[in-house]
Amino acid sequence: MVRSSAVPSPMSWIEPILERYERPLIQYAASIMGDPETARDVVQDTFLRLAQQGALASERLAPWLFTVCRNRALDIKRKENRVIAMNEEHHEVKSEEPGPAARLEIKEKTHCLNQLLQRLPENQREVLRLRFQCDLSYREISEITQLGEGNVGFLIHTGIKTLRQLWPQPLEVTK
Amino acid sequence: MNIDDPKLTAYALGELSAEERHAIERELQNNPEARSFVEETAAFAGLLSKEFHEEIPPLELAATQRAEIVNEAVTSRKVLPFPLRRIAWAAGIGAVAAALAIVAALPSAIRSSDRKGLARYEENEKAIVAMTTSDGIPTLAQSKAETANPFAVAADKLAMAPVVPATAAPDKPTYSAGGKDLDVPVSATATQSLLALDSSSASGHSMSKAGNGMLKEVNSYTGETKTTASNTVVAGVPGSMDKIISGDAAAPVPIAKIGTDKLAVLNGRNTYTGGTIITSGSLVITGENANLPGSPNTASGIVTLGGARGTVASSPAPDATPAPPKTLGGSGGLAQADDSTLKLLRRNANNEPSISDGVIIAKNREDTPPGAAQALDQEKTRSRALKAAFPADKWRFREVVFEVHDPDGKPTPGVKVFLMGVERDGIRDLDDDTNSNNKNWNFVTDAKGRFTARFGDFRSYDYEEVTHDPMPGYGGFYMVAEYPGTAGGVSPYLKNVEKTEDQLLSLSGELNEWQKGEFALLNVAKPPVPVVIQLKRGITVTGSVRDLEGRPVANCQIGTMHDLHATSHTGFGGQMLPARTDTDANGNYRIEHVYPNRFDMDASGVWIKTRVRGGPWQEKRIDDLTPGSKEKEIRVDLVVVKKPPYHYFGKVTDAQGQPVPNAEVTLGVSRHWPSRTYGDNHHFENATTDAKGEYELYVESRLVRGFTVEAPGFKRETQWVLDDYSGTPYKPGFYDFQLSK
Repeated sequence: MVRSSAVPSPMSWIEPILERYERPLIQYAASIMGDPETARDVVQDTFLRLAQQGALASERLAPWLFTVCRNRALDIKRKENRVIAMNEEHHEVKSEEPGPAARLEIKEKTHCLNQLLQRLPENQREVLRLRFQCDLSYREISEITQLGEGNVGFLIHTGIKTLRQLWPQPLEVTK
Repeated sequence: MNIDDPKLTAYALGELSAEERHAIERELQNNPEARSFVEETAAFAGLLSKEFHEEIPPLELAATQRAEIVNEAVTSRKVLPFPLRRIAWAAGIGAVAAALAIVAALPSAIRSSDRKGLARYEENEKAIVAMTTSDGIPTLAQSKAETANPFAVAADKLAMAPVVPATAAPDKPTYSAGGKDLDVPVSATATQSLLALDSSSASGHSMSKAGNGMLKEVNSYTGETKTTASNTVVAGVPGSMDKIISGDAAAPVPIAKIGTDKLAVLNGRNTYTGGTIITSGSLVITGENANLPGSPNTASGIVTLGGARGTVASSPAPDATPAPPKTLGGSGGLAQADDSTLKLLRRNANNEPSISDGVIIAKNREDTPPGAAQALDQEKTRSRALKAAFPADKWRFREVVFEVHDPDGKPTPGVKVFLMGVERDGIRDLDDDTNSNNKNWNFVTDAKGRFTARFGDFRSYDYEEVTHDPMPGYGGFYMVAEYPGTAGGVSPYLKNVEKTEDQLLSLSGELNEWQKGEFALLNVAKPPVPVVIQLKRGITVTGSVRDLEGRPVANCQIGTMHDLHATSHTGFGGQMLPARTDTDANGNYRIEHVYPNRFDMDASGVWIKTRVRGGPWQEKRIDDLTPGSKEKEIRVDLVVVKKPPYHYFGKVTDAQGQPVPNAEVTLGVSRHWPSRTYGDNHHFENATTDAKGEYELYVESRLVRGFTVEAPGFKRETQWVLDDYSGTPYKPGFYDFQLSK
């Protein structure tokens, strides 16, 4: 393959994108699929498509990635006809991650968050995740979910309201 | 202002435009309630964000998966596809080559994990976009000569004086060649990289540029344009360009079209070879030599349409043929400007037109909904990649021999066996004809009571997409044998895995009563040869069916069925070994040869009471039974009625207490608590309110998960128990709802 000498190597353009979006995408796909292992495959497919497709204006990148990831996940889920609850046993825990005690705490907390989320309708769960876990804006979420921006705002508003009511500890507001 | 306004939440989350923000802030000054709502929401949002980010980290991509992606990115494109516009404007790039700077600058900006950092980054980028898209034609009148010229210009080529950067953007110098060739060897140390050419005076002459950076073309320009470095040419605001020569064979240079202007024209004999990138706007190819340069035999001929607005239009010239680049892709579209002929050709190795794979679908523009072409394109790309990655003749299989034994342990010929997948790619739709006869999924034992099955070393999903042949790949499976006079047989759990240890470990979460820790790992250990499928003697399920008054119900259909998923969450896809009978005139039934494992029962009519093994009557449907290990017969008596007995009713009103007609009230009704299957968890009944706003529903179970009420013009209200069924069901009775606008 001939390559222009001006194009720097060895770092590929896709690596910073991987770095930034790999985990949020897996987390998001896992929340749709319920299975981190399949989620990983979905995310790989997503990045492969990006690799084949190439140029994307950067403001289009996040919506594109999440949309492709979402479609692929839903597609597979439809094919598999299966809904599984998150099984934490599947998670790999790396050594640089929190120690056992801290992990347990995190596990309990997120377990709690997860349980509370279960009480929300699916569409609210999804937009909350996209907003707070994947750090996407209303506009981006609207593009990904094909919901109107106003609708996204409404779902997030309602979701936050319900979660606040359900939240186990009283909320401290520091003014 | 109502504190239940989503706008307040949006404000707290920083989602509003400046204008909306100011409006809200004015409101907040006089509304302490709304103010504290905003404060609380912002605090809670912070908490939520923290909690979400602390969620157990998911798996990362495997190193091999990452490598595959990077490799794909490197081989499928030769250029840095990152937004070219950033090259021109990013501040502080310094002495490094612009392309290098992108890679270096980017990670530090986007690696920042805090939202603020990210927002700053985005803002910065938006500003960059704005500068690019709003720029007009630079005028010489506004130029200032004293600004340092970042370009080293060969003076002898430049007859006309003003070689000056424009004031509006000092890093955007404007050149006018004034009837002479313009040769701009962009210095390697130049931090600025965009060159705008007032082409009205440059027509007929050549312009060349070395070094990194962009050339921007304004107005029409018919001279020759030579570029020899990366990220080079932008055909500009409505203008045209031809005779673009860029790069050489060793270092092809892409031509990029940016900016939101609708039209840029490539006319004439362009010979650049680096591919064409259109990030927005339209690119039109006209003239008898019109083509999109790039040899189809190299990877360099790529036309990339970025952004939904990027299009390539064919020219009005008769029979204009955009010679196909190697890849025409991206998220833009290929549009034909008028009713001339549009040809899409694919050339084979002998340079003859051919279509060897892929499909070209021609449609009238009106017929193609926006996005359809894009989806098609993405699917095609994926399919091509799959085919390339998995040539059909390279699929690997593992052959496994099975032997069916009768209850006395003797191999049995002529037994029908079918393969059932339960996980991952293993699942097959039994109602699909292609599966009911497919040789990969259906078998009959030979004279020795044996048959051979093939399991692939691939994901069936991929395989099927390429070969259109359903074939078991990775996943979990059972062989199910049916034979008259027996209850049938089920093989050990068959696990066909891609990897080894981790797959083995992950099995523990999936085992149910059919698996019991015994399984054959097809791609790991050698399975026992042959794998024995044992036909079993069954048990008998018998009993009576009555109505509420105790009268026998004749001709009631009673069935049993086993479910390989019985304890998994999926709940369907694994039904097997069905048996069915009708009650006699006395309302009695008897089903023999029921496989001695957990089974489901079903009855026609609405089943509301059950008595199992002669015990007490229970006011519910008990249709999930497990025989004891020694039990030969189970007695199940049931009461069925014709109409669902459980009454739910009520009234829907608005905030003023006025009835809301035509409101839809939906109940989630389950047969089991907690419901065991997806279907049971997703069963709904609904009713519409009448003119008085009243509704009523009779349902077959008291296990109601919740309600959703919606009416045109009102907010949708929902009230549901937890998905994990830790709450209690809503009992029959009246439920009134008040809707708000």
